Amino acid sequence: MLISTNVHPPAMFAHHNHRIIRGRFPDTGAVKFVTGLGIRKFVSLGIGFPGTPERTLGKSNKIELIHFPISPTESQNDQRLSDIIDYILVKNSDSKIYIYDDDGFSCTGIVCGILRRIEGWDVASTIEECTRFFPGGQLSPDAVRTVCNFNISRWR
Amino acid sequence: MSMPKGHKISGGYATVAKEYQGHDYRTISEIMTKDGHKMNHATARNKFLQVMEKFAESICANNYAKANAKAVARNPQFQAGICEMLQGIDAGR
Repeated sequence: MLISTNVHPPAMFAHHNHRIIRGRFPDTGAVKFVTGLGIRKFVSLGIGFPGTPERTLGKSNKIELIHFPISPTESQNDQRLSDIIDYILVKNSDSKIYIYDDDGFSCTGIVCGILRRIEGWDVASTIEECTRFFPGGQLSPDAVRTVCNFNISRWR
Repeated sequence: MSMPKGHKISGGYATVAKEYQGHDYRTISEIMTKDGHKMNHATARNKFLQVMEKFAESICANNYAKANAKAVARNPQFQAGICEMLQGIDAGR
């Protein structure tokens, strides 16, 4: 049997809180690392339709893969973001979840920023954390607007 | 006959990565010695890798693939991932 040495965290890997991990689209070694942390629910935020690799990973590792495509460069549809937050905070309130997109910071940053505001972080700290993940520290104005203006009262 | 070149770990050491504000093994051993746990840099490295191996064993046992925990623990990328997790927990996130 082939013994693998390829178990590593995904690119842009970060610990959001005890239940939520964020990062970039995981390759095979990264899927092993993430599932090794006891995570079986993957939330894909990439704008593209989930392709064969994601489906294959989902089947082979007993992963539940949910695809919520959002665009990092456009103003977000509030209903779509609400569905994502509902999935993470309400429908899977006891599950560990891995949130990712193609680059690990744009769409993921928006959703994690909103989650931080729901956790009670002020806007300045939230934006500061989001900015840390953006290359060159440049957070897109659309992302800032979405994170700041999204109505979080439902989950507080 | 020339001296053996030794094994070079690709990717360097995670402990000295600037983004994690880490220390090299010599500094770690000096800090530990000052705190009453006498050790040299080789012991500091061995202890560090022993702990990483424990994480690797647990992570490898938790997923469905067979993996060499010892080799996984030596991967700086893996070490950086564990560091990120521990810093998150330490920060109370």
